[in-house]
Amino acid sequence: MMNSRLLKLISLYIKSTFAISLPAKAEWKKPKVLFKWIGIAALTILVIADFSFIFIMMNLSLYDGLKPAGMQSMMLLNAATTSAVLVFVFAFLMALSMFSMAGIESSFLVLPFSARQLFAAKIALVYVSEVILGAFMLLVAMVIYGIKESPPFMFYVNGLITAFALPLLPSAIAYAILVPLMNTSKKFRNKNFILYVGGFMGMGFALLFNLYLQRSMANVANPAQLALMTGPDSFISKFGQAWIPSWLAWISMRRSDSLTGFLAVLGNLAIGSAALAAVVFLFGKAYVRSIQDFSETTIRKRRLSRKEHDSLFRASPRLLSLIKREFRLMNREPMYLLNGPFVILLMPAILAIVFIAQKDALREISGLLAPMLQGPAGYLVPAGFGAFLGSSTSIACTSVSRDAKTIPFIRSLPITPGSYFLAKFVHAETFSVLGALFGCLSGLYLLKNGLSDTLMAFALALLFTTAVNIYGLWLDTANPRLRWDNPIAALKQNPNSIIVILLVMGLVGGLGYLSSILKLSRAGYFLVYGGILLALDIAGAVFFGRYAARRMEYLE
Amino acid sequence: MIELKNISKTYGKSTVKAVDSLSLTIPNGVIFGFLGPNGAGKTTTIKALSGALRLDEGSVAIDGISMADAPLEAKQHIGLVNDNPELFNRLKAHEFLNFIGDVFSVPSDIRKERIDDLARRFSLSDVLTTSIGSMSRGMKQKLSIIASLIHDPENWILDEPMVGLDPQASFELKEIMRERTKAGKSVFFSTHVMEVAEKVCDRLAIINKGKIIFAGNLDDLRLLKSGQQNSLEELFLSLVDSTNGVS
Repeated sequence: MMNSRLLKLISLYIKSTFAISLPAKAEWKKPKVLFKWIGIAALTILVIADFSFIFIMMNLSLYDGLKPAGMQSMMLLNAATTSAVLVFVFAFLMALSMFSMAGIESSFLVLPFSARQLFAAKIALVYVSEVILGAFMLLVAMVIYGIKESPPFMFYVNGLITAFALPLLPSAIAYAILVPLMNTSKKFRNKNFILYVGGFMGMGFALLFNLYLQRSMANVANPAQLALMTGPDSFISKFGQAWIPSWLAWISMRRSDSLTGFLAVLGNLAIGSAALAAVVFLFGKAYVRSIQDFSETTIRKRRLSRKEHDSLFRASPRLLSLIKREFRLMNREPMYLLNGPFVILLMPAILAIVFIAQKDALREISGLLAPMLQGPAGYLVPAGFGAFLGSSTSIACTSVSRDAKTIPFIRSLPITPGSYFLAKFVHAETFSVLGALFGCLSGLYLLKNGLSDTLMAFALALLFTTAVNIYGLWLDTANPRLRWDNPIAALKQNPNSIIVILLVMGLVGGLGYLSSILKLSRAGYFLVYGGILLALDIAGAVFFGRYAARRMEYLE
Repeated sequence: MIELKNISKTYGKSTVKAVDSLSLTIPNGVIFGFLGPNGAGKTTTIKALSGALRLDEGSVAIDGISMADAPLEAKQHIGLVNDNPELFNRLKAHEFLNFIGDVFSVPSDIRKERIDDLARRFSLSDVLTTSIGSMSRGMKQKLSIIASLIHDPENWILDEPMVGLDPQASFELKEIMRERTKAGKSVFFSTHVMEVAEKVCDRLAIINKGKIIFAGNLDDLRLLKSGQQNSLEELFLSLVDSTNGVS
């Protein structure tokens, strides 16, 4: 009875997490639905293919680098270790983010589940989610090694079981850290705090992972160099041998021709299962306590003095009040802040990592490009970077969607469509100015640009981002996403933000290509591009203003 | 005064009219109760008369100002208490009140005075610097009520205002309704609480399936139901049942 309940709960968790609601048969005939799903499928394939390519290339290169020394099996240890570390990080982040939904989770507390059943079901969900990633990484290495070395059949059996056993321990450890943490401090039982911590940790990890990939990719052409990163004396190898599950995974495949290999598989299964069972047993009640106590809020009551009261309530112009509303509503929602304005800081960090990791290659390229950078590219390159950075916040192209539920109330207020949309534009444009400035100043630093080049780059970047903001706002006004429960749906999962970011990438790349084939004077590019962008900005402002006034009547 | 003439509204691809040729006049100096079962069209009517919805047909006039021709001016004469007080959880109470004050161009000194008075009456004076998201449902509702009165509107429109209010706040709300009608202003509110409607309202309208099935006072309703001296609740149920074809 108990187990059947537990299985039902696990199945419910998994279904509600992975359920994809495909459109009904008749819906597929609509071009919009068809286009959307083709886009989703293409993006999914692209992402999987991209990661597969990276891991296949890395493992092939590793094999080539390690083979001459007869250490090719080290690539399996490397894959097992990388997989265990990645699974731990993702499991930790997933478990953390699930605490932010503890409000929904608490509804299960009234049902006849024991504390340990609730906890076990949650860990099972994390395990199922992470095993896909962990197994994928290990299996890529296993298949490449298998093709190259033709090991016995048991190699594949051992590898396959190990791939599913390896994520058990990291999932258990993630919760063994988080549950006591949630019980230690009230701070951790706050949804916003968790979202910020999770968001920053996720970004930090993404940056580190990016550094790892960039370094590996920089060395793909040089197997000997790559092998040094994973050879017996490397950090990853020492860590892998000290981390018993990775070492067992390695032994299970390296010694697949003997009983030792299979014993290593069993060892891995035993360690993982025992750790999971121990965590469930020890922390089950503490987990439920953390769910019960989650989102406890206390209202801070404070009697205001007459002076304080008077200073709080001061009239401001209507437009300024609308602009302040835009900033506050976006910057105080962790999902919006981290995926919106914060991108302006994140992007340069990613590029800095690329710069650090691929320093040598970039130095070589910049040496080749030096003569070109003396020409118009000196201001066009930073302009492109500024334009991209200033257009990457998704503020304008999601601003109506973010307002969704408030639109009827806003419409009942004496606000003109002009001031409503102008406030949204000013909000987006403020961050675009910062992004463009950041991008162009990096040109000043990296390319040693002069002031005039920097100013020209900034002007072009700003004209570009202004157009992106106007037309992005237009897109979201014409086709807003108004029905959602989770704020992330209005921003990150909003097709408008995906369309705009892809369009920006295409345009910046396209203009870069156009610049390479056009034969204009140094200032010619500035005048042509600047003129076209200015015309687009003016036309957008005039025609969007007219359109928005009409469209506002239909937004409901 | 609020005048609705033959208003109709159909949502999206629906074939059913949420509001169907509805006409209603809410005179000044009157507390007007708007009753109806769930999904009858109460919120749609309130959204339509406050300018939040585009009408398919008909017209709305607020104090003689057409909502279609001069929406900003017409809206200036309305104070609306929305059915969903969860809209601005990320703002602090004083920021939300200032936003509404700015939108209605209420001068600082008048704004301070009104907020001070209303916050005291609804016991919110100590939480004006608090984030709306950390407030209870009832506190959010009180804040919506205060916000709707900052500009002292001629017409006060409230969608289910009693939901979540404690007895003290319900009492204050009813008192303010009476004060406003005494001052010659109009109050129009929807409710499911028949006892409140029976005690507070000078006039009533009952809506079912998007159509007004009764408009008048309680005595008119009793007359309509052959002089039965029943409670409003019984009369309401009997009227709704009869229009639904239930004998």
